[in-house]
Amino acid sequence: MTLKRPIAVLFLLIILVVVVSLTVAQSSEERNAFVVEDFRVEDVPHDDGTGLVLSWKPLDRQSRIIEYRIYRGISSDTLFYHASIPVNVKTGVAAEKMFYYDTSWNTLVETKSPTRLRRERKQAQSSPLYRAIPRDPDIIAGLVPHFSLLSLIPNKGDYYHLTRKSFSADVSDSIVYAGISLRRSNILAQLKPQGEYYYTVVAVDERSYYHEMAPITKGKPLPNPPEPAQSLYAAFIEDKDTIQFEWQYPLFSLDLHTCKILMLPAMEDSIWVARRKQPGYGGLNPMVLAHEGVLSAGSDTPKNYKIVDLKKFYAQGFAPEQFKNARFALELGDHQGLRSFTSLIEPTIANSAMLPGKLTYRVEDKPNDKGDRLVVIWDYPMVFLTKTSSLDDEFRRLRVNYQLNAPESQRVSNIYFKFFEVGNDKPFQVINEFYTDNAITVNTPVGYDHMKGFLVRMTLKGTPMISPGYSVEQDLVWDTDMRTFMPGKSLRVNGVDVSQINTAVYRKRLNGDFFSLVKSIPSYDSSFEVSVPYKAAIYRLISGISITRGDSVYTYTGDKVFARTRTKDDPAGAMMMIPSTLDLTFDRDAARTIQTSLFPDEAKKMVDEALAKLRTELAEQKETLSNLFFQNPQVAANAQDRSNTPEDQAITATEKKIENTQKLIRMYEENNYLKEANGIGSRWRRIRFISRIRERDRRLMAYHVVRTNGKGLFTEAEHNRDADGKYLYEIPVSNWFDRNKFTTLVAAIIFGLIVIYFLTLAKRGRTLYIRPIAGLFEIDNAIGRATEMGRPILYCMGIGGVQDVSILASFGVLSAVARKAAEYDTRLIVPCYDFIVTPIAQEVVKEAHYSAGRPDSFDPHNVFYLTNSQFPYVAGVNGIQVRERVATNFFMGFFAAESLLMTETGNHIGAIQIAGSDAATQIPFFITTCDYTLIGEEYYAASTYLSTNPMMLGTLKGQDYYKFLIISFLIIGTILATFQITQVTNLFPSR
Amino acid sequence: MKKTIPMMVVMIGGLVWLFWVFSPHYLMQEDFLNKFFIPWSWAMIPPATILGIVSLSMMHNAKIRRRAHKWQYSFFFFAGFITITLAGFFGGTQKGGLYMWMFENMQMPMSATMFALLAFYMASAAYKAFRARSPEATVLLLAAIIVMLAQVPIGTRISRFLPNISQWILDVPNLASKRGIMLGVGLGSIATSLKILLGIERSYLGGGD
Repeated sequence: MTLKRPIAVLFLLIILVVVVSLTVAQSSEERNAFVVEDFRVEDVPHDDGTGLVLSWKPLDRQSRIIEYRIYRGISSDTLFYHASIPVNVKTGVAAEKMFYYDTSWNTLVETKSPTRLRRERKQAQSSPLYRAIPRDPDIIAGLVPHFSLLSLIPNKGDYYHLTRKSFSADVSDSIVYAGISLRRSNILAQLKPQGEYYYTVVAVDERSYYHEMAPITKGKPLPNPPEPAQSLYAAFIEDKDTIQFEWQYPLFSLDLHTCKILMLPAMEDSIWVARRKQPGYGGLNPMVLAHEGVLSAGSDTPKNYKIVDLKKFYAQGFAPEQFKNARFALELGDHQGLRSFTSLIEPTIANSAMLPGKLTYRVEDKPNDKGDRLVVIWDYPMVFLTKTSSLDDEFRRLRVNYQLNAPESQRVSNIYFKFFEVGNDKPFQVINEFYTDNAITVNTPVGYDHMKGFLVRMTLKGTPMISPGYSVEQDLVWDTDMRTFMPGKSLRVNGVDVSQINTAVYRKRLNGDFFSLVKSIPSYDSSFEVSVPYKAAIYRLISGISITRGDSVYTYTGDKVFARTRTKDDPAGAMMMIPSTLDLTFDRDAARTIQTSLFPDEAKKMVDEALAKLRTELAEQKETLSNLFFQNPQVAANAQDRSNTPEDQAITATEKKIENTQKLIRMYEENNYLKEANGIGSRWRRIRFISRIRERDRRLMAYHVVRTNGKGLFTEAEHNRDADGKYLYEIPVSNWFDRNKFTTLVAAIIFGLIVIYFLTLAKRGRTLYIRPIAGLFEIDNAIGRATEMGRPILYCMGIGGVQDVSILASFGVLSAVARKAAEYDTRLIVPCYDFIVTPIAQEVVKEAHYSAGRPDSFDPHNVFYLTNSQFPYVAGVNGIQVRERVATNFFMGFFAAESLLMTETGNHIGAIQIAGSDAATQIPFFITTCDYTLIGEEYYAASTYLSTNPMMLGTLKGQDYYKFLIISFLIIGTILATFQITQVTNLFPSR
Repeated sequence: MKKTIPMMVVMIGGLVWLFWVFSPHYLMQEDFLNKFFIPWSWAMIPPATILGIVSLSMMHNAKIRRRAHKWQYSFFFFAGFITITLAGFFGGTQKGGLYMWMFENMQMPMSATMFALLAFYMASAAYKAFRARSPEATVLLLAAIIVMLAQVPIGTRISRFLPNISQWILDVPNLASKRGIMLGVGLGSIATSLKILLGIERSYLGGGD
């Protein structure tokens, strides 16, 4: 067999490229083995026993490290890839030590993880290092005893619809689980307290060389006492008989369970420090002023303030002086019962006049959004100065920048700035800012010592109405460093300095019984947009893994393995067992969240079982009550008239229990959502209904604001409640129409109507005059020139994709050019940048050849895909221009930096060039280097001109008339705005 | 039928996108865009890439077969294509592999070289543009000199007003003309879209009617 010459050449070229690449890549320097030094694995302090911290000394910059790969395992002989810390190869790591915290829930296995375990790259057979944990049920089952596992289902629909009823092989476990396959759920893992974990770190350099691993080191996470609160403040409010406490939680607050405010007599802090952790506080016996749970929702922070009413203590014989002279501490307790304490603090003695003013607030839906934002508004819009700059050398003219913070629902039409000299009540300049562009110009008074600074008072006018008495004041003081006037530290709203006051926004879920802090907002804002995201993913704790092998089912749960014979109900393969119960809705009457099951039959069974149990309980409770009444006939029938005797209290408590049980029975029997859900037979429709109800419930929140100085002086706003005194819960609304785009829609409709009108005229045969465009008249000449010279034509559409309107417009021009080229039998070369554009361009050229009656002359190889990299595309096009010695170039489409490179080459080879683009930045280059250029709209008009379809002219005519309309609005708007009439200006959207 | 169905698809798709522009609703912004449109767009890329590769390979193959002008260069295409494909498939595309090495040490420098050429082409284009052959070209030349001088320290040494004049040129006449062009472009693109939506412009379907 003889090797054909072209094949031989190709073969040799491939070998050449490979050999050169490999030789250069491998030969530059000898590899050095860099081992990470001082590698340690330590327990994370102050956590709940689920965290370890890894630390090591990073390698120096010369080693050209690009990443440190961390491996983790439950034994020293098998470590899986766990995480990577990328490093900038040029700068390296400047710090002495690098840290990695293995805390919280980290990804263990992903849905896209491979199914087979593979040894890490470039590792010897004896190496313990493996790649990431695969989606192998046996390997995951082996990890179940060592980690707490959480299922993260990225597509919530998979949980709702694709889970299978699953049962444990443990016969004592009768729970019905939802089984989800490993393909549909990521697995997150958390370390278990007291567990043993092995780690190592491998440095990888820029040539992907895995340096030797650090010594494998063992770590054991241990539960620790929580970190003390970062701060605690107490304020004794004399005229209100209250003590207000405010504190800051430590960084790690997830594990916190309770907090106590302790009151002690005045003492040295060292005594407190020495005895506070002893049983009974070492005999100090502090008084517990408050004892509450520490709870938060999602990423919110738990509530961090408390008002203690002292009247009940006064009733017990305490005197105000005792509280004034007392010392206070905050005790934080975690779920393991471990505690931490702050140092003792003295209370600040204050009165209600020193507290921030009480706020009223409202919660609004954020308009024009997809329904994931609410706006909490507590004051009028805020305007404040940000900086100034002098427009001359003597500070006679100042440009003052300001910022206006207003919610979208509040329109501010005017801002009035009054500038005062210090000590003078008469303003030297008043500015009415009717167009808020964040800058005004001020002429400072002659003869005034500018170094004294100025005072600026700002008032606002807008819709909804802003109180005329509302004003914001700031000082402008000379800043020596900045060499200009800058706003002073104080910000006075209605004369009160609020610069140190923050407004904290809290919220509470429908089924929650606590408010948690969303964010604390400085006084420079008077509203806050709260994000209320839609639910996208589902998180469920994994109870175990069930694997079906042949006729047996094995369940791995905790550190135990169970096995039983497979039944027909057991799903095949491996399933993660997650709860099949889920919250349906919160029943306000019973104050209880109703739970249901993913599976319709189980859901009905749950209700039946719950009702049976409740009815039994009710019967028992009623019997207990009748016995109590029988034993104590003197007890009043009405609970209000009873005394505090133990018998009375027992009867009241039993009555309360009966009432609660009845409410629960009513809930199960009458709750509309539960009834409707259980009435739907199809699992698909039922789950759709359930998901709609439960996801809406989860997004219903009540809001609250507190104004505070952060040091115990705070004032709560009144809660927003309905007529029955219950909290008002808000949910954002998804809007169908963006009202900000109303003008755009009207403008688009008007434009459409104008175009349709002219299309109709054109259809009726009316001749429409269109102004001539030189570049288009020259197309015929350019093609003719190529024909005469016997050289090809190049048509280039630039670097746009089929989604660009300019490329779509280019197809029209290409069609006309190709038809003419086909008529003249001239070769047309079309190199394409986008692979989706290529087949369309081929079809356009082919059709043009057919319509010109020259199907034989169409060569599909002349319309081809070149590359979708910008500069290689330039190289390709320039090469074609030079090699093929093209006579005519068309550059019609979207262009960027490559335009000049291509047109200059065309210029150099003497081709006639016609360009057209909507890229404003490239048009100067085209004008300079091309013979004719279609600028912007002319380019879009090109296909219309070249088309034989008279209807196309209608759109062009419509464009011209619409431009007239725009110019009219521009002139009218400018004139009106000059006279401070801004209605026309405001008509148009600015964003 | 060959063009009616694609045209219907385009018209319906166009109307949906039009609605998408004006509607911030969850159904449009999440369900339609993120859950439907974007995944399908991604799914379209691999077959379209194959189309492109086939097109380019056929073109170069035809050149070699026909012994077209400079046909030998087509071997470089096949050599480069096969080498980098094999490098990617067998060595992976991560940093440190042959694929990335070739990308960083061959394609990137060559692209940078092409880009660097722009500086010389710009000088050449500027020379052509700034020849004061007419009053308009003279104005252009003067404006360019002022703007360029204001960008360098010597500009402020010549006159402290130069930066302000330069800024004025950029902010007023330059921006006005740029916005004029953009306005035309905007209207042109809307008109083109309208023509496509109404089925008047059909060239993207392969020309003709």
